[in-house]
Amino acid sequence: MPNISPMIGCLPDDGREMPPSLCEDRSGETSALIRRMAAGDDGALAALHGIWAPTLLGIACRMLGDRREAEEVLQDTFVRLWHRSVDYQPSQSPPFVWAYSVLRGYCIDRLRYRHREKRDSSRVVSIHLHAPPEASEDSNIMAADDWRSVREALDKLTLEERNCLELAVFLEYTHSEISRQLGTPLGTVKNRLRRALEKVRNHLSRYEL
Amino acid sequence: MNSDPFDTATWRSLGMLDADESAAFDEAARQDSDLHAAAQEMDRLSTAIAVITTHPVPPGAGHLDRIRSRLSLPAGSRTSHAWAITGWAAAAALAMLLVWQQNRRIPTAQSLPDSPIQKLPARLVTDTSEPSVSQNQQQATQPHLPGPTRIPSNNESTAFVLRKETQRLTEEITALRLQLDRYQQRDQTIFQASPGIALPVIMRMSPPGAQPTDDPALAMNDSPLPQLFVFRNHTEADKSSPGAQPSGDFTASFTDVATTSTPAPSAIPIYDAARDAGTLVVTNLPAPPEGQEYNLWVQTNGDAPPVRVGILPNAGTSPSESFDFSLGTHQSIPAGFILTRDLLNQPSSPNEENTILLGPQAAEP
Repeated sequence: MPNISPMIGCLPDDGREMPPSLCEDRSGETSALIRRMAAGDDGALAALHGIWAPTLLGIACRMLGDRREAEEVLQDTFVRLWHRSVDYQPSQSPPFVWAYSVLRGYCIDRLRYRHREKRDSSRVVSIHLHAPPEASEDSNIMAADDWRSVREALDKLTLEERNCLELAVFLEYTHSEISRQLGTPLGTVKNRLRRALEKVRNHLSRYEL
Repeated sequence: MNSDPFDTATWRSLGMLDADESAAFDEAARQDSDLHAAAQEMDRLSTAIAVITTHPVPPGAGHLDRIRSRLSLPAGSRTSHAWAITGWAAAAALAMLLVWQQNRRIPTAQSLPDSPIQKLPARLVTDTSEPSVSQNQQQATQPHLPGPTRIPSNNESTAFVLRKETQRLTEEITALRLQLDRYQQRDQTIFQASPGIALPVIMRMSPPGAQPTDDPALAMNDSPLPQLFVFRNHTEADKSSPGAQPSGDFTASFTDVATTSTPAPSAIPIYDAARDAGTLVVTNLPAPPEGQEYNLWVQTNGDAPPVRVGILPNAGTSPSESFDFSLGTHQSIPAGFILTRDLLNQPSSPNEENTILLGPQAAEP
């Protein structure tokens, strides 16, 4: 049927709608909470803690492998977020990406402080490529379609690519350490990581030629 | 540093650069917008991967309080809880007051003033002999009581009232549930989408006052396409040679049609309530004048004002056009549609001046 077009909306000239960026704060709720936090509203801090803390703690637990240490890092993170909320610029990164970067920095510090040889890698949990329960898809962290699209992208990876990605994202291994952990040459590790992320990026890309 | 910005941004995002390399990358990203954009994209991607592949873990009790104490913030305010408790306390006090007042209103045997029973002398009650005349007269002036009346106690009356009220409310709830079940069943019958089958609502929209046709499918008869293929300049030789290709000036036929008859605009909205998916097929709609646009409105019932559905983008560019739309609800069966022509970004409720098409219209007797 010719000339079918959506009824409503301001369509750009090429007819395609600009999609929002990944992890974007579409509702603006968390950005507003950060602004209130910058103004000294501790209620906003409590609200953000309620929204972000479970997800950030889960990530920290995977990175550090220790619940107690992860909670300490999470405390450090929120203290840092409180102090840095004045300088936060939404144009630089979405709110949760900003919080994640702070958390990751603290986790990296903890991991570098430890002796890596003594860390028990058996506590690492594999990437759950089967869909987590629907209840964990928090729209305050990511939009529903982002959850779906990233999950689909990860499903397309090979086992080797998944392993490389897991070690890189959650254990902050360098290339050489991943190479040693997996018993594969360094160049292969780099290629696998590059290929895995390229696959994910291509799947998430909405601009098809 | 790698010449590919995404490569370096990847390693930076995943924390695989040492301190010197990270500092060099950050400095370069401040100068290079492409590198900065790549870094932002990889940050978002690594965040999304971390979130997707992690199960949330609720923090332990007191985690937020420890953060507050480190920030020298006061502990979580409990005024909200105080208000909640106060509210419940007030409700409980009011309930007790109402019950107490109700108990006060219910009379008891001991509290009844001027009770005829109390006025009877004790000896007359126990006297088994025939009543005297004075007793008869006294009894005649007193209101007749059908024997000793047992007045229920406070607790029994309250329980009786509560029992009756509970029974009434239970019956009302049961009746409402039955009614709700009937409505849900009805709506499921109407709105449940069958695989591969749609149950659309089809209407015919025409200019105000136009005589509607009974069958919306007959709208195809208004298409200008058949008229455009009229061969206007057939020669006699062409007519006598059936096998010969017709000659003639086809351009003239198009022009003649265009100038001699202008088909009226019409539209057919086809709407599937089960899927909230609709298509508006518009025929012969002229392009709006500059500075104006077409707006589609839906009428859900006769009393409610029409609701604007949306704008027809780039309408009037061809004799037949289609536009997809949705109403945003699966529970509404439209009673009618209206197409108006308004100023750009200034839609106004349908009226006689701006209405171009509407339907369905009742046929004149």
